Amino acid sequence: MLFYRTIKFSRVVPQPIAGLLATLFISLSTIATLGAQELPTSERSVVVLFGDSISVGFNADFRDKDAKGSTDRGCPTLYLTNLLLNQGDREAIEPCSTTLYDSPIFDANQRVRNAIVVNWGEGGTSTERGLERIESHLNRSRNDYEGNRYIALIMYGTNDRNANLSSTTTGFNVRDMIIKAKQRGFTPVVANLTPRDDQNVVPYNTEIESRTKAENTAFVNLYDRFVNHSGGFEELIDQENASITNEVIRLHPNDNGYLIIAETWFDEQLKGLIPTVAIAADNRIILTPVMSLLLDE
Amino acid sequence: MFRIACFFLFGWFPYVVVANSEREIEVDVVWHERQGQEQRIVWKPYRGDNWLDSVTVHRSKNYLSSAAISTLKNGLKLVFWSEDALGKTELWYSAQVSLMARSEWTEPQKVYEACRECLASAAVVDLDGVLWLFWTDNSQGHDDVFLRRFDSGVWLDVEKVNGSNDVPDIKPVANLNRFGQVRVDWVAYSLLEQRYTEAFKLYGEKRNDDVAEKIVADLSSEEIPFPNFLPYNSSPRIHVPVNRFEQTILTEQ
Repeated sequence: MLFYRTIKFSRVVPQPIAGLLATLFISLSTIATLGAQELPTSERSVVVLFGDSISVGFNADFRDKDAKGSTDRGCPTLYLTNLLLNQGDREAIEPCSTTLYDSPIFDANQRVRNAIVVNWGEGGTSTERGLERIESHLNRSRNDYEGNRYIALIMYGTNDRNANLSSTTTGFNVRDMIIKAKQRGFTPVVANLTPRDDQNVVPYNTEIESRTKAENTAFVNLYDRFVNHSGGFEELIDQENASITNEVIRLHPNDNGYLIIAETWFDEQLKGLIPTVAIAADNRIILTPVMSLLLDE
Repeated sequence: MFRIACFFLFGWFPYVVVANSEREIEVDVVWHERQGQEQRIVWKPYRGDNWLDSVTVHRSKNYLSSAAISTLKNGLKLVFWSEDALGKTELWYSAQVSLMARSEWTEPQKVYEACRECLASAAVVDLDGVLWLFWTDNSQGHDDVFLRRFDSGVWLDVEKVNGSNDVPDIKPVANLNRFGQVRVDWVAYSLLEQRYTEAFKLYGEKRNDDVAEKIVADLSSEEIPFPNFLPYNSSPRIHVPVNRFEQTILTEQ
């Protein structure tokens, strides 16, 4: 039995090659009419965001501390969902800036992917806590959401120094998260830590990157993306009041920073991991789970 | 007996130190904070019914963390912290110069020369007045727990607490148990269970019960609410000088 979820495809541009492949693979594909706008959950990719408050999307405009498996709250969830489903005019439930629709990656992304984003960010936690909960939250995501591909986007460690964990312990914990994710049938993708101005995260990022690559696991370099931002990472991470003594630090990305994170996840890994849904000239949706990779942007 | 509850760093701090004694209640809190480009290790004493003024024990442009404090038998304080410099995180301490001049401290001195990332210092003073300082360092690969004792003004050799393994050993907490033994608890990754588990080690022989009972009887209960003076992400530690059974408890967010 197939389950369907209604979505809109306002930004989809039919392409001749998609129509050709639709003809070739029509017998292998699930077809639905665009009028119904439904995608089968049995062929869906379930993408789990797993990390701390930066995975949740915490900042001055969004104060949720824990995401608790949400699929529709916080900029990381919403931006990534919009990129995967190519939902240009989706109205955000929680306020996120609309700069997504002006971003180069969104404009270049002409395809729809059958996916759902599940957020298991937990604010203020270290990788020690992440290791403690990763199995239960990945299992729960599997149980709650039908799909044929499960991906875990792991970004963890910015609280580790305050939790008295060294960079090597952070690397060890991230490696163990990778192993546990793989054991549960997830494809792990690991990002390093975005910069903060009150601590040096470089030793932690060195360990995270080397451990991730040693496990032959996909790695996303968010740190470089932020520090190489044309206006500096300060444009992507606002100052926030951190104490009653008026101490201010830069730690949580603003909405634009969360957009950069979503784009980087998507551009560097997800667009290659998740097949596109081809749209035929007559507006039929043709799921091309293998060949679609050849059509990638 | 004193009970200290961990408190967390988001919002108000509803947790309390519980004590009840004819002796003046003493509580010390240390933490790290940033003011502009300057990092500070700050000590705030509670005496009687009042929080006294905060004292800056150390200031630096380097990143500071892992503050801890302990009290020698003569009443003088030692404050420990970790400081980033030249690609390492080193362990330092400063000692109070005199009881009459609370704000005067010695120049910082290193506890351990071989640090790579020395963190999570925890200290306790035993019944003989020896200070036991525990911390973690990853200079041998994974984090291990180390110990150095301070006896009669002299630092003894550094010892490794956990056995040889290929996993992290982290977050030491030092106490005296009711028999007067030094007990260090920490968290160690278990390859068998594939998760972090608790570990501990005891030092010293059991003392007779009279000694333990005498010290336990020093204290009972009364509540001291913590005012909201702690900065965000400051990783404070509480220290209760007159209770040698629970001198420091790590708190974290």
